Amino acid sequence: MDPDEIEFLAEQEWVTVVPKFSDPRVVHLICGEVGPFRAGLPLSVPIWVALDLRRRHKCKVIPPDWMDVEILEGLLEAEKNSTYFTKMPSEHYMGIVHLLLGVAAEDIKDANLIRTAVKDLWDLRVAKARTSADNFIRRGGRFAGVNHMTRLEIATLRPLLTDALDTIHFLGSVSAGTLSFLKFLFIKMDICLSVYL
Amino acid sequence: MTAQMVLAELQEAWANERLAPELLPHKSELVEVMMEQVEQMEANVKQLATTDLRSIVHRQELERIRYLVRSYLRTRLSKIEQHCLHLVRSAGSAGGDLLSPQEAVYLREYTANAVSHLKVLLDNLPRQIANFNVQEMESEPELETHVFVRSKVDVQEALMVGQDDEVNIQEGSQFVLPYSVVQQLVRSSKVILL
Amino acid sequence: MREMSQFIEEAMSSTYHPVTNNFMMGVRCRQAALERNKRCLLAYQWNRMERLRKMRWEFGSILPPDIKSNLSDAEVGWFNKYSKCLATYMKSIGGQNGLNITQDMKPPKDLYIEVRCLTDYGKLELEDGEVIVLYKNSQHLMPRSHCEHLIRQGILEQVD
Repeated sequence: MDPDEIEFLAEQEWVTVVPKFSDPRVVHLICGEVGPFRAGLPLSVPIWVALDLRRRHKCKVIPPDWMDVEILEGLLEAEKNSTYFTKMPSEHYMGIVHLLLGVAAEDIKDANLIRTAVKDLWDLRVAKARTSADNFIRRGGRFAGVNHMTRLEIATLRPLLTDALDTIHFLGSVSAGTLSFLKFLFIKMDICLSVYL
Repeated sequence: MTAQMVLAELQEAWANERLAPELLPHKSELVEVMMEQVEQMEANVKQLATTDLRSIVHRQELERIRYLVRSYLRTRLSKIEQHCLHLVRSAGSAGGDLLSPQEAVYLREYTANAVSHLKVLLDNLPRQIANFNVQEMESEPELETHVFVRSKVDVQEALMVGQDDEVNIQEGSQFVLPYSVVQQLVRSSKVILL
Repeated sequence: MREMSQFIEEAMSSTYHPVTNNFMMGVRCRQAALERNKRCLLAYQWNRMERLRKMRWEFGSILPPDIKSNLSDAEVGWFNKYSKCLATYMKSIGGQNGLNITQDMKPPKDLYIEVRCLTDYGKLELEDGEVIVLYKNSQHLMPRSHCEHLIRQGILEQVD
């Protein structure tokens, strides 16, 4: 699954908008009901609807509560202090920030600071994921818990981790006497990892 | 089941199919219900002025759903092509829920074409080695590949990973592990692939 | 292909007249070498089939002439059969008109995209019946679903 496909999923999340027009009719979408629209009155719509209305200057986007510099910095601190992954406010936190700031940055207070704060959070989590992947591979484990990792983070890690794990498994199944070769491989992989990072 | 629920299930089936190394049991009943909804909606939208807000939003949703259906069926077709010989051999034993009727027709026709094309090539070789061994060409899905999963349920029994390790899966927990460990749970939609 | 076949013939016949004592060894080696060559051939052919398959999705059922000229007759035949097989499948799904699953290769973004025409293409009828004329360097705002194929064929390009 590539980042485009994950963004497609992020677009299905709902967000609050304040319409600049009134339309008393409810739109019966297959994914749920949207409307009625009353100018100035907030309502919830799928992100893909919000983005379309916003592009036509027909609404103002209200960012979700967690899209706030202080909250994001708090999350960053918590992430730093935890060995494990902390729970994100949304499975698509990165995608949602990217989508909303891409189209409606003017509607969002401290847009640039939010962008930086989320990027810091993302970088920290991805670095953490790589370190644990590295440890996991060295340990020679075959499974690991990855609670609270989001789809986009997993997609970033996947090519590296699954290739390494599959190769180790393949070699392991070839013969038990490949241990020394495996060690050699770990060292190799270490180099690959550090180059990749 | 409401259309909204069908859409949510189809989306889950799509994501799982995109991420699973093997072909999963088909969900053609979901596809059919969804396509009927789409056709009906298309007819309704045609009644609206193209500048009507409702028309714009509906058309956009239809685009999204059509993409989902197309991508889902495409992913399955590509797996059918890739593992055609394996599927021809195993489709009977795996029960009837793997392929939709249309996919079963496709598999038969595609495989026959591919095999006869390769046989033409072998006809040019000396008789002694011109036999065609189907098994040699068979490409099986790699079930030991590692996948990321999230469980929708508490799995009662511990699952074996390899010979000595066990994993306990609780609702909402996420793991990276060999696909073979969760194969049945993916097939029965108890866990989703991430 | 023909060379390979000839080589195999020669190899076969030479093993049938051995003067040495290790007759069986020679035969086995030859046999292994031949089997290996055969597998290479099959793998080569299989890979070409895979590429042709991809092209069906990219270009549609009609191959560009420069690609067609690089194919053997058997390959052209296989491509046409594949194309037909896929068309039959697409007709059998998704209601009366079937469902063309070679469209929408990427998740949808905006309904309409801005495109520039790279050749003098001529008239094109849109879903709603509107007819537009595509000539070189003309720019159009078109439904994405309509452009995808034309973009892949190099007739249109997306303007950012």
